[in-house]
Amino acid sequence: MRHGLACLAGLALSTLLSGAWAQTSAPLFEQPSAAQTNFTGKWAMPKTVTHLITADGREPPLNAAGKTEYAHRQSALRSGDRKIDPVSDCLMHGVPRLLYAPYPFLILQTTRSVNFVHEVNHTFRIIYWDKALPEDPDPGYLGSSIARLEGRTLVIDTVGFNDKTWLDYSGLPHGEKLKVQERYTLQNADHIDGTIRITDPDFYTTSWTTHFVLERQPGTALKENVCMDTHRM
Amino acid sequence: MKSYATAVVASLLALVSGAAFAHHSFAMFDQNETKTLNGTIKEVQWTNPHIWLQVWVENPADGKAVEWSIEGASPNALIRQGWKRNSIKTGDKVEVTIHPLKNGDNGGSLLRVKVDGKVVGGRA
Repeated sequence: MRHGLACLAGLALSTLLSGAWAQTSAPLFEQPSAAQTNFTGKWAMPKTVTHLITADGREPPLNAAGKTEYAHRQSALRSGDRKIDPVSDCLMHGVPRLLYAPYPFLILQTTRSVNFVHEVNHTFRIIYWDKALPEDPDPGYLGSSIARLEGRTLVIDTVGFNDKTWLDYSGLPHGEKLKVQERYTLQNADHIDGTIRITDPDFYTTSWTTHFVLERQPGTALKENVCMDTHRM
Repeated sequence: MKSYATAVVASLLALVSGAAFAHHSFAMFDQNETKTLNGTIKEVQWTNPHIWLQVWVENPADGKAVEWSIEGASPNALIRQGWKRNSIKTGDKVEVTIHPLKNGDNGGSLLRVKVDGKVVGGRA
């Protein structure tokens, strides 16, 4: 009898709690509605881009410190010394270099966040919608990002980078003051047109923008990719 | 005309072998030069971020075998083009087409490899 009462109480309690939970929490991760612009899918650049140039076809506007550092890195790479590249030690690709790694990635868009799942070194970015940028973020490889939609364009702003990554595969430098704005526009179901705006007064004389394209990769399954495992540069 | 044709062939080969997705700096390889070598596989290193083929190649000057280090695309990229991790094994007789190292050392970036006359991968 006592056991039965306890069960009943437990059932009542759990019903009450689950009812309260359902009433106070919106569904956490839902698919966007059919009417919303939806970037979900597997994407990759159609061909490798190892060196970023500006949208109007120029070299990025490196300042004196930037030119010195870039020349140093380029000289090392030309001589075959890849150890200078942080990814040679399996440090994370940063932003936007992740997009340029020759591996596909999944964009998984939900009502709560837009999520980038990159095959390269099993890297992910979870980016929440419509939040404010943090005022004093801890510096990180991927920074702190927020997302919003402007019409059919996904806009991601990121601040709070450490200085341990390269902007691209050619060695373009950046420091902790780096701010990145990514803009992704769905041209059609299979094609994203994008721009990346780089602002870093430590290494560049002015903000600059580069252009990129992404193509949908139907039938591509993301594979495991572990940089540290049997790694040889 | 000849160099243009070579460049076209090289870029098509690059697409097939996955070298088009060569990331990192391949600045140390001569992109304008293509070399074809015949040899025997000493070792296949199925590694990230690029695979390596260690190939014994006969030096025509003295007939001695010298070891060449040839760098390919990533395992994941190659698998997507039809390679398997054991498509090439120690002891296989191969013909490799490469962009050689600019400094003249025995190495290069892989454009294409044939085992027993058959191109490995080969899905463009």
